[in-house]
Amino acid sequence: MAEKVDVWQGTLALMILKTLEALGPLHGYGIARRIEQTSGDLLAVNYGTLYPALLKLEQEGHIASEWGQSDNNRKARYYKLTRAGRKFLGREERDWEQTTAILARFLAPGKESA
Amino acid sequence: MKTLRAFWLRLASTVHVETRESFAEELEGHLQMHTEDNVRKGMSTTEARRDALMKLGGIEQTKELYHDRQTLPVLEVFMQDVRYGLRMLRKNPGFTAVAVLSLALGIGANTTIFTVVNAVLLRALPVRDLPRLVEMDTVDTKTLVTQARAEKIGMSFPNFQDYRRDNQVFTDLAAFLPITLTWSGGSEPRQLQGELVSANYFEVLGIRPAQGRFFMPDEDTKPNGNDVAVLSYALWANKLGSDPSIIGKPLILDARPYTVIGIAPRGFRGTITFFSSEQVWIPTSMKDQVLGGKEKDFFNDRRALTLGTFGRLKPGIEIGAAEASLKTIATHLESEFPKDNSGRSVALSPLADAAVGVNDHKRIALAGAMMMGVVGLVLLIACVNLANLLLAQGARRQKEIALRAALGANRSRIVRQMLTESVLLSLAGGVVGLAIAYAGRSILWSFRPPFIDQSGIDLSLDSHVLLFTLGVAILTGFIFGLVPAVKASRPDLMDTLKAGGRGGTMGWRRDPLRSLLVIGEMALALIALVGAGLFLRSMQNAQKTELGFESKNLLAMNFDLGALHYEEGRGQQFYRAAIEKVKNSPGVASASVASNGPLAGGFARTVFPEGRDEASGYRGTLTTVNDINPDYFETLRIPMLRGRLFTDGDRKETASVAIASEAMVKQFWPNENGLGQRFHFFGDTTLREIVGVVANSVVNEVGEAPQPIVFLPMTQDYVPVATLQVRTTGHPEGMVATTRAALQSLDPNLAITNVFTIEQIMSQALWAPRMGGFLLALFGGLALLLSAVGVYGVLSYSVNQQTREIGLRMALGAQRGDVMRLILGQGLRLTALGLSLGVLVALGLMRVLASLLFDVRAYDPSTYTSVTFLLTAVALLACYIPARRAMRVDPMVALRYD
Repeated sequence: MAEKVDVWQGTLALMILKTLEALGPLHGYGIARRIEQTSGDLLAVNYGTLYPALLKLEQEGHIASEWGQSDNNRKARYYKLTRAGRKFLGREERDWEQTTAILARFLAPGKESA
Repeated sequence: MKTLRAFWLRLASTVHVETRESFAEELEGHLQMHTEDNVRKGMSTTEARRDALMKLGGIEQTKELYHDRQTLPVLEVFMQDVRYGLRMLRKNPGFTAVAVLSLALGIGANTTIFTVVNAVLLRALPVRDLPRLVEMDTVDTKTLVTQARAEKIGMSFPNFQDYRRDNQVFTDLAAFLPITLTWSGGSEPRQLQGELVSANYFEVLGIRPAQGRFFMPDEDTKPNGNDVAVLSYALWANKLGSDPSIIGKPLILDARPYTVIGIAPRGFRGTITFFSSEQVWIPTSMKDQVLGGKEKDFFNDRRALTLGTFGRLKPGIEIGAAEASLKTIATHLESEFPKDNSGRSVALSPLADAAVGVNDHKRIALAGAMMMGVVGLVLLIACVNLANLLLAQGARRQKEIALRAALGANRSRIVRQMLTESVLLSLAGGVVGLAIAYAGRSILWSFRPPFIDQSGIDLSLDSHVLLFTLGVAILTGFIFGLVPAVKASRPDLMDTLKAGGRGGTMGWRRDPLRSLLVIGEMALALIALVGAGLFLRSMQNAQKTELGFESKNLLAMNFDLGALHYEEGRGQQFYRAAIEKVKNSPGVASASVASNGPLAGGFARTVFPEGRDEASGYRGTLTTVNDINPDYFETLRIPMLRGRLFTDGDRKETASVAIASEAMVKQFWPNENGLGQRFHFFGDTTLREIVGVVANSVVNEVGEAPQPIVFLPMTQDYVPVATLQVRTTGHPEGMVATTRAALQSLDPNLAITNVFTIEQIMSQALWAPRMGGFLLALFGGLALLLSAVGVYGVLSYSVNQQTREIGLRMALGAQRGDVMRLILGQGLRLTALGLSLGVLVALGLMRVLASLLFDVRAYDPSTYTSVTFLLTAVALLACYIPARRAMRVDPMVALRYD
């Protein structure tokens, strides 16, 4: 099994937003599991780090939260994307794609000279 | 935006800590869900829980991370520091009280002076974009001027019109001429201050009326229908009850109805700081109705510089370029009108500076800076004292600090903690200081002379003052707190200090920091005291100056016959009747009329002695003209030196005569006695012969150089605006009502104004310097007291530290006298160093202020000597008390103690 990669700052926020976009309102544990699964278990998310990131996104107005009932009737805080968050996500996605595209050219210089 | 929103939320959570529990709940839910999932995957309950915890990375760590993000950690630490600091200050009430009090005195002194500086120099005129407004003045390089500070003089109306038309640098140029108006319609005629202004006056200033409208562009040019007036807000509020229906109604000014068209915005009183807040503005087209006498004659004279002018610079044009461009117009005007304009050009000054008088601004600003400097020194001395106290405290708190360091506080955290404490102290000092300043201001204000009461000077503690105090308080806390804080946070340094305390000699090497404090303190005190001393001396000198007339039992009052439209014949008759009537009242020794009031300056004209005129290249000298009746010199008791007085025989049809002051003779005929000499005024061919010479008397201000004055008989040179002087046999105050009644019995419509005894006028004129002197003496005393306390504090601390050493010395046979000498020597060496340093700095600083000193040199040896002597004596006393304690040290006790 490949070594697990640490999640670096910034990308975690993007992953959270993308997860909420895909799955709708979700509690913290659910988000953590989903990120881990999506990454094919290649990412080691320290679940604890998720909560300050969620708080930051909420303080910035990208997500909102409210208490609700989980599937097995537990009280849990549900996070959902706000309108501003959706816009922010779109912008971040574009930026990210651009960045990776640029990086890709650097990482494969042979192609360009060919 | 986003980050700002996040910041506020975090700030709110810092203050309000409810959410922490809800996060614990959320976290617990997370763990339970995870545990259940794990159990479902086949783990045992304990194992499942452990795995969930491991994945989370610890409950407390997570909570900590969450908390840091939720709140502002920096702020939280800060609030912790504040709480802790407040606790420390409460625990040492004695220290806190001493510190707060000495800071409060220092900050209070600064705030008081700043309040005055703010009111006089900084409070901007309430106009649009003030920095773009500039005053334009005439500079005359040709005519000789004997008065100090008269480099920049006003404008003449014809020149103003030409500059307004021809200039390329102003969006527009406006003019104003201060006037007085008699307002009748109330119970008694009342004199109002006002200005004749060009119609664009308010537009150039960029202000909008509070009520009604300002002038139409043609109201200063169209032939009639210009009898309109704008009132200041204060006049409207104080005298007309803020009645909005006044707009469109008439106001009787100088016996003529003017329609009130508008009210100026609140706080606006024209462009001159010292003006009364009650003002009337009337367009220049009304000059013939408003002005009288020479002012009327000279209004359209290109030579007479009576107007103030200011303009708004066009966008992108700077003051220097504008001045250069205007000077080319000046050159044209010089060649076009050589007789009037030769040697004359223009200069620009920021209107904000010119508001206190274009020629006085520099001096007033320098005086303000000097006062701020002295109180700044007082505060610095207080800071040095506190730094010393804190150093001593730091030594006592060593254990506490070591403990905090051991518990993981890093150095910057400790420094921050200590600084928080000192800033808390200085803020408390600031609050008490503000209270002191408030009281101080009220005391200053209660001693104000009447003329300040009339002026619009407003000594309120506005937002500028409050901000200044806050800034000073915080800065102060840093200044006195930084060194002790850094030092306390460095235990290694403390170790060396302790080692030093045990053996070695005392003084510099043992404790350089405290020695520096003593040296600095003595130097600061010397500078403050030398400054205060020089200015006190200068003020004394100025007050000792002879007035040239007797000020006791003399009364003066003004009236304006022009306002009542008297023509000359009736005016002359009125003067004769008034003098006759007043002179015959019981209690009056003599009475006279003159165009110039005592210490009120006067009209000046350019004098050319016979045989030396413009054509021969002689530069005339601007000379004060005083039109008087024959009783003048007797009434004022100005000694006649040679020749004769004016008599009733000097009339229009007889030879034109004049009486010269001694200074005038010296100015024009230095080698003659003056009698029989003849001269003429600029633009006037009449030759006047000097028939008498009188002693010099003061024209404008106490302490001025003797001024050339030419006295003319009122019968040959009539003016309708005059001052009546009354020499009484008893107290002049008692004669006010009698004199007033006598004048009004001649014409009930006459407004009588500025009724003062000369002693009152003198105390008005001397109020500012006297108040300045009083404050300087007060602050000098404060500096002396604070520095004495400081030196005492340092030495007594040092004696305490050396108790063991002293005991040892005495055990080894040192006599009490030796110990005394040792301690005294220690203190005095530092004092001597401090004083020498202070003298050097003071010599440099005072040179800058030399221009403010009257008859005292900036390096006046006696001031320096006496201040040095005084400070040495005080330092000696401050050293003596700890030295005596040292002398009484019991060697046995001291040695056992350690």
